[in-house]
Amino acid sequence: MDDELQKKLMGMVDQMPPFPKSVHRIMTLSADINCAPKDLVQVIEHDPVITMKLLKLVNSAFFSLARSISSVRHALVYLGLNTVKNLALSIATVESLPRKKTPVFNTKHFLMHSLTTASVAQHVAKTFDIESDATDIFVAGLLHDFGKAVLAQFATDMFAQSVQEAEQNQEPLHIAELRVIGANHAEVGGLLAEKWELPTALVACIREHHMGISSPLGDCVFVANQISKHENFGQSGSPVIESFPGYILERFQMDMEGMLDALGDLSSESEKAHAFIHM
Amino acid sequence: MKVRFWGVRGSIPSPGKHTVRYGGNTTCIEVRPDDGSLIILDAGTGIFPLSQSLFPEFPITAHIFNTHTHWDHIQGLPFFIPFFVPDNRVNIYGVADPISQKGIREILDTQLQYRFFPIREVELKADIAYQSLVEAEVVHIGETKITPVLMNHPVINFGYRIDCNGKSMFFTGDHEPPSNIYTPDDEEYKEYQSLIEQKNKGMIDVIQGVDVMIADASYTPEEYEAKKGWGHGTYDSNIVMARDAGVKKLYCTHHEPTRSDDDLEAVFEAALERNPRQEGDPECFLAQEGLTIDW
Ligand SMILES: [Zn+2]
Ligand SMILES: [Zn+2]
Repeated sequence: MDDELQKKLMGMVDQMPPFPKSVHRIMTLSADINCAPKDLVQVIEHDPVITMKLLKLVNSAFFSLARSISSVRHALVYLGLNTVKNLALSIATVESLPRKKTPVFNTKHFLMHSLTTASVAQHVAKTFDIESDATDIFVAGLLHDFGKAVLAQFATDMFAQSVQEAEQNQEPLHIAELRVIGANHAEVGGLLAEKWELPTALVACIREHHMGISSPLGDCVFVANQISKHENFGQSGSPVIESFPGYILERFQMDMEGMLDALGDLSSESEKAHAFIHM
Repeated sequence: MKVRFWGVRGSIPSPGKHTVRYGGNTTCIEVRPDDGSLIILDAGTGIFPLSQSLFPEFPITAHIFNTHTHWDHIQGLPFFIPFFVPDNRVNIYGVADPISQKGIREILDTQLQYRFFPIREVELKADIAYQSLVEAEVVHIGETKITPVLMNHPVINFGYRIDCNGKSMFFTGDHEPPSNIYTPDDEEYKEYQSLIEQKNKGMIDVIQGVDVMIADASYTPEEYEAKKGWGHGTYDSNIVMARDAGVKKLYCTHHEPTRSDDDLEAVFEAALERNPRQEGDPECFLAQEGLTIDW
């Protein structure tokens, strides 16, 4: 990726708006002095943009905290409810400005894909006893495709073309992106996560999710990503369900079919995400 | 090291015959480490009588450490007399606000707006410096070392550990032990609990072994039930914290403004009875305006 493109991409994310429903929910909840903290946490946790911005802020030099904060709940314990509530509120307020409509990119379907990938990834980790902070896995799943939202918003035409070409050629979206834009959504997401000083494991997971690099966190997200697509939970924009590469087969000792069996009924994961998007 | 209480009341000054023994001023603590530095913890209304006691020492260098910017901890600041006298030097330390992204200077700038106070910040005669602190960023003053510790309150609140010459003290500022936002049957409960334990351990590690801990003990456990999330601790929560941190002496402060002297002594006695002192436990006291601890 050349410097100019990199610079352009960096500028984009600061302007990324969150999903309007969450903004509305945060405003309503924070206007109620008796709102249950866990309800507020849930709304923030389920919005990739607000989560990303909140983590960016709490990990920034401004706070210079002694440890790096890896999830919304972690931020809550560390900084206290009221501070997190007001941070979220100020993010939501600033971001509630009108934004450009993007026909190629249905935010609702994208959010659904991100949310189900997050909760399926958590489910995978639990089922296979994979060691990593549980919320890290959820956050990683939620943010893995964050770069797509950025591209859709700010490189609208090129991103639309990538989606179209991927569909025509029946190839993974990241391949088409690389050809059309010069960078793929994983790189874009990773770049921003890094610039925003998110925890290193999270940055790596976002950046490497199409690079065939194995890590406990990344492998859970890879599997969850393919399952979400397989089960038609939302839409990722990529027409291809990738088969499990060697390192995934080795870690889990099973293929997609086996995995679906092992995880059991996933309808509750999708229902939860659905209910969340439509509340 | 010498510590003197100039204000021990929470929330709002409460003068009157029912508070005459423990005092009605809001939070202000004078600390004199062995190297002779003058450190002031918080600028509640107690800072006004403190500043009058400083006249004989003028010109002075005072280091004011603000735990957080709630009214009861800054109320007295515009009345800190050394500000108005040339050759004095005042350094103000505290946390920057993450919402407005403004530094600690904002306290005085805001308090001294012409509509609220007759003298503007630029008109003050003393030499004033501001330093916004971040977590664990140690401040060195002479031989004294001050370490800010992130506590839990509705606004960012730093507790301060002060070390000098082998002697040490810690002041919590306002602090409520973090509690689980989930219920035990929630899936998230366990993980959240482990985050809390990690956070508590972080605080205890810094406080470890201080000679004196001064702590926000606003409530009894019964009162606390109705005041969860308000950002204050109980006698019992502080006794536990002091015990875990191997503190030698615990002074309970931030007394409820509506609590009379008699009531204060009664609820404190009851707390001690609920938590009988075991070997190695801290000795517990009530903070009282005018009380000096010297060791
Ligand atoms: Zn207070
Ligand atoms: Zn307070």
